[in-house]
Amino acid sequence: MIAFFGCIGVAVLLFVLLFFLGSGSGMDERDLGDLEIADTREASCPSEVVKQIFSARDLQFVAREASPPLQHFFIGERRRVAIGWIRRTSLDLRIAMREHVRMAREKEDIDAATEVRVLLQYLRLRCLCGLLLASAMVVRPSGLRELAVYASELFRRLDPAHSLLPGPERASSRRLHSTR
Amino acid sequence: MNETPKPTPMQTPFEDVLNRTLSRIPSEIGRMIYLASTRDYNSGIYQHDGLASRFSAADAGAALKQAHCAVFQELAAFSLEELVGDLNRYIENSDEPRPEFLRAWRTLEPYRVAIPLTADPTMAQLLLSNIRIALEVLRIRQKRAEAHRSDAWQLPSPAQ
Repeated sequence: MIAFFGCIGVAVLLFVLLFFLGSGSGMDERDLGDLEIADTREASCPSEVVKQIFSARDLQFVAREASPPLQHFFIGERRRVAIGWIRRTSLDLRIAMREHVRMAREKEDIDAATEVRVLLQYLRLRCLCGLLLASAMVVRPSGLRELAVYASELFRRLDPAHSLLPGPERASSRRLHSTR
Repeated sequence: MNETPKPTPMQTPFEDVLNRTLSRIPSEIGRMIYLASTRDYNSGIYQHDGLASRFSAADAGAALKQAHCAVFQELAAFSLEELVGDLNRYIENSDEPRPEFLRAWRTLEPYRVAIPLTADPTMAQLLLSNIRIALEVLRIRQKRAEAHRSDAWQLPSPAQ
């Protein structure tokens, strides 16, 4: 019984997180700046950058400086970058899914099994983003490295099979968040 | 009238930027700041008279843009330790006294306008955040060095 209510609780929590993740992206854009992305945008954030954001190497360097305020400052800065990446990934995912749905509507021969699989992958990634966002608010980003890299890889793998991530459309429809 | 023939370029505009100009700048941050300074604020177009006279304005602009993106990507891949070292080198090669430099950079954040227009937003955010942290590291080191000098000044000599 306790396990059942636990599962319900986790589901509600994830739903709330997804809601805030969705509503948060707009706020994030305003917060980050108003530069409009050009069509000439380069390829999206490589996995190496994700690894770097969530890496422990820089934290170790800061720890060697033996200054608690500096360490606090570093963690705050890295957390902000991590949350920015999670929100952008979530936004990209929603744009890609919207595009996929639009393309699926135009198709005449829809494969139901493929569509269900795409939907499940989408939901899995949205849940991962929600979990990452919640965790990034309480845990140091370096503690989330494995999960973040997994989400990043999963997001990339969605592309070729189901045209879930249309390349040029995605680049042109996204907004460039400046920084801070 | 006799026009002076343009010298035949021996290298591409991009190589020219790398070999003639960027190789003289000792830090990556310095290179990024320099390349950003060749970009027009209003149009985002890169301009360099010397390079344009050797090639064409369009080729020069494209080479500067390519070099700017390459330097940005290199800097974004730096670890924090590497970035602190690079920023330190940049400060050493500037004419400003270190405390004034650090104060100006922490307050005005001039490095924010040095990001290429087509940069990935996450990479840009990471680099700018790392520069802020690097400035903080250097400020704390500066304060410690000053405190150390002040302590050394106040300590009595062993002969006293």
